[in-house]
Amino acid sequence: MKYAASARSTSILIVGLGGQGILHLSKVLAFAAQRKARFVCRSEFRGLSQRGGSVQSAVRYGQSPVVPILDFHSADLILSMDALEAVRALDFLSEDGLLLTDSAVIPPLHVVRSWERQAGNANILAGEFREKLSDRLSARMKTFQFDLNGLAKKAGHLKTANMVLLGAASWFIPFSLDELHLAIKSCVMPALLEPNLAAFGLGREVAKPKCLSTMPMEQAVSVLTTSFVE
Amino acid sequence: MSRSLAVTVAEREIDQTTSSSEVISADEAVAFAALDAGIAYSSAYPGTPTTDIQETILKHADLNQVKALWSINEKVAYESALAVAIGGQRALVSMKQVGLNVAADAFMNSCPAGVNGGLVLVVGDEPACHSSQNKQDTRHYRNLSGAVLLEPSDSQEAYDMTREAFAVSERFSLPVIIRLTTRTAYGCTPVLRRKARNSRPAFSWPKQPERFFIVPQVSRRLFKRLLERQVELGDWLVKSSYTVRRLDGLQARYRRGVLCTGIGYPLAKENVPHNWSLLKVAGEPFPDDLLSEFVRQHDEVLVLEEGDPLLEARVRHVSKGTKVRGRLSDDLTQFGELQVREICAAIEGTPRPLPPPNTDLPTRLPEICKPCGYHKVFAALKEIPDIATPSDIGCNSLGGMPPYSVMDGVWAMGSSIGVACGLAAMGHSRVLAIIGDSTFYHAGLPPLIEAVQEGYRLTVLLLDNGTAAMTGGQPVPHHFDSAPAPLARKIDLALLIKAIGVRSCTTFDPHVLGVMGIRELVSSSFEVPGVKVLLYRSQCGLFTPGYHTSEPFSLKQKGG
Repeated sequence: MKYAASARSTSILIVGLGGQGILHLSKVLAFAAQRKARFVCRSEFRGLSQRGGSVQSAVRYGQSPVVPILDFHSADLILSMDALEAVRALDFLSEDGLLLTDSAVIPPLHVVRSWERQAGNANILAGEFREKLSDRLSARMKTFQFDLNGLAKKAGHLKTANMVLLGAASWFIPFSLDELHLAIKSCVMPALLEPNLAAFGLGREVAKPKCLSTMPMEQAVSVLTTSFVE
Repeated sequence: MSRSLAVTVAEREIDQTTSSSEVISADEAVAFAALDAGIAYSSAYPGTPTTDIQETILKHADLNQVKALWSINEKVAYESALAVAIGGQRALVSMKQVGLNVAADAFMNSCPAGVNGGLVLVVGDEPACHSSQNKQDTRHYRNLSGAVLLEPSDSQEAYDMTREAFAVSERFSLPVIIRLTTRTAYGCTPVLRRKARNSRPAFSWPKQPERFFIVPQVSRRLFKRLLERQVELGDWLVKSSYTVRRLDGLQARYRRGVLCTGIGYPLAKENVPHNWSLLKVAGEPFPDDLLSEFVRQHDEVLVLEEGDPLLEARVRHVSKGTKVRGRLSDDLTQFGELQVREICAAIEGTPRPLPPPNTDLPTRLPEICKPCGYHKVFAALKEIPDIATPSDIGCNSLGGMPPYSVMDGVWAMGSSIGVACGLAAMGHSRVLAIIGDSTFYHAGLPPLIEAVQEGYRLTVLLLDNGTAAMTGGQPVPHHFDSAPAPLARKIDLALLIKAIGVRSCTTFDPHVLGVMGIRELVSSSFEVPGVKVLLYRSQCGLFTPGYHTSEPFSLKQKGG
C-alpha cells in the first residue's frame, strides 16, 4: 500500500553514493518542479557519505502540501546511481512505481575484502554479486538498468552520469525538454553545461527504446502526471 | 480563563509559481536569516545536523562584515557570542544537541542576567541518532533554563523565526533557542528572504555588576524575574503568527484534533484530514491553559512532536477523558523519528505498521578512507594484547568498527583521556587513550593536565590529521589555510604537549613507520612510567590536500 494521501503529489527518490551527484540531480528536479507545482520540497540524507556511506534525496511536489519525508512504499519514481543502492531502495518504491538505475555497482569495502579472503580472484565474486542484484531488480516490473558511466564517458565527462539518468527519466516526468534544459542550465556551472546537456540527451535517447518498448507510454506516464490534474 | 484564546492565524502559504523563492535547507535558512538580521558575530562547533549553518555564514561573512569562526568548543562558542550580545550587538551560535551539554554551564548561567543585543542559539537534535551518540531533546534544556525556544516546521519558518528571534531576545533580554531536528535541518523547502536590516548598534560593554556578577544574592533576585518572564513569554508565543489554531474538528460528532510542533506540523498538513482541529505549538514556554483547553474540547487528540513525548505527557496529565494518542500510548514509536505510516495508522485507528524486514544486503557503514594512515594504526593495535583502549569522537572512532574493532568504548568529546585517568588510577598498566586533534583541543587538554599532575602511567595516541575530518574538514588550531587575522598564530601542538610536562612525546608518520613500527612504538610505551604522547602526523587527504606534516619532531625527556 501507499501511505499518505499522496494522490495529489509525486515523490521521486534519488539514491547513490557520495560524489555521484545525487544532491545535484535532486536540485535540478526540484528547480523544474518549483516552476510547475504549487508545493515543492526536497530531503537530503547524506550521513557519513564521504566515508563510503549512501546518499539519498527525495523530491516531492504536488498541488497539496508535501513534507520532506518519504516513507516506505511511497516513491513513484526511483533514480539510482548504483545497483546495490537500487535494490536497497526497493522498499521505498510504491506498488506501481518505476525504477531507473545504473547497472554498475560499487561494492562496500568490507565486501571487497571478504571476496579477497574467499577467492584469489575477487572479480569472479564481484561478477556474481552484480548478477544477483540485476536479477532482483529484473524480478520487479518497471525497473530498468542502464550503463550510465559508459554514456557519461561518451558525453565527454564522467561526472555527468547523473544527467544521463535524468535524460532517461525525462520520458516519465511531467516536465518539457525546455523546462528540464532550463533547470540544468540554472544548476550547473556554465563551463560544464555542454557535457551535461550532451549526457542528458544520450540518456533520453537510450531510454526510449529500452523502456517504452516494454511498457506503453500512457502507463508509464500516468504514474507521475496525476499531480498536475487539478 | 483570562487569556485571550481567539488566536486563529491563516496559514502562510507561498505561491511558488510566481515567487522567487529558493528551495533551501533550514540550516541555510537560519544562516541567511542571521545575516539578514544584522549579526556581528557567529560562532559554532561542527556537528551533524547543524554544520551547514556556519559553513553558509562563513561563505558570506566578509561581505556582511560578520566575524565568523569555528570555535575551539561549544562552551567557548557560546561564551564569546554571549559577550557580543551583552555588548548590544546581535550574535548567532550553533551546535549539535550534545554540544549544548558542553556549553550548558555557560548557557544555563547566562539566562538569569540575559543579554542586551539579540543572542540566538541554534541546536540540532537527532531523534534517530543518525550521526550522534544520543537522542537528547533540547526542549529539556529550555525547561531548565527559562530561555525561549522556537521550533521551526520548515525552512521558511526557520528563516522567519530566526529573524524574529533576535528581536525577541532583545525584547525579553533572554537568549532564544532555535530547535532544529534532523528532518527540518536537512529538509529543503521554499524560502523567501526579506529585506536585510542594515542598521547595527555600536558595541558597548556595560558595567553592571549588579546584573552580571551572579553571586547568590544577585541570582535569587534574577531568578524571580526570570520566573515572572515565563508568563509574558507564553503570551508572546500564543499571539505570534507561528502558533496556529484551527477548530474544524468541533463540528464533528466525534471531535478529533492534532497537536503538533516542528516537523509534526507539515506532517499533519499532508496527512491529517481537514475535518480535524489543529493546534501548532510554536515553541516554549507554551501556556498550559491553552494546551489543556484544546485537549478538553476534543474526544481524541493525536500528538505529533519530534523527540521526547514532552507535549504528550503534559496534555495526558490534563486530558480528563480525552483520548491522547502519541508515543506514550504506543500509537507512534517510542524511539526515533515520526513516521508517516504510523501517523496514517493512528488516524485510521489501525495497528501500528512495522517497517519492512531487514534485508540481506551488505551495509554501507562508514569506513576509513582508503589512503588514510588510520588503517596502519588500527591494524597495529589489533596485534597488541591486553590493552585498554578508551577512544574518542571523530574519524578515529571508525577504528571501533569492523574490520578493526580495536576500541573499548567511546563516551564524549575528550573522554578518552579522562577515562584513561580512571583506569590508571586503578592500576591498569596498559592504557592507551586514542583521540583526534580537533577533539584534543576541544576537551582533551584538561584531562591530560590531570594525568601529568597525578603521574599516571598511560599513553595518549594523538591522531593529528590536520583537520576536523569527520564533520567535513573544519580547521584546527595548528593548521588553517589562511590566517584569519594578522596576529593569528598557529598553535604548536608538540610544544603545547611538552609544556604540560608529559614524559615523552614521539611524533611519527604512519606511512613511514608502518604497522610493525607502530605496534613496536605503542607496545614499548607501556614499559615506561608516566604520561606518554604518541603524536601521529599524517594529513587527511580528503580535506587538507595542502597540509604538510611539520618538521620531524621528537621529544624524549628523561626524568621529570
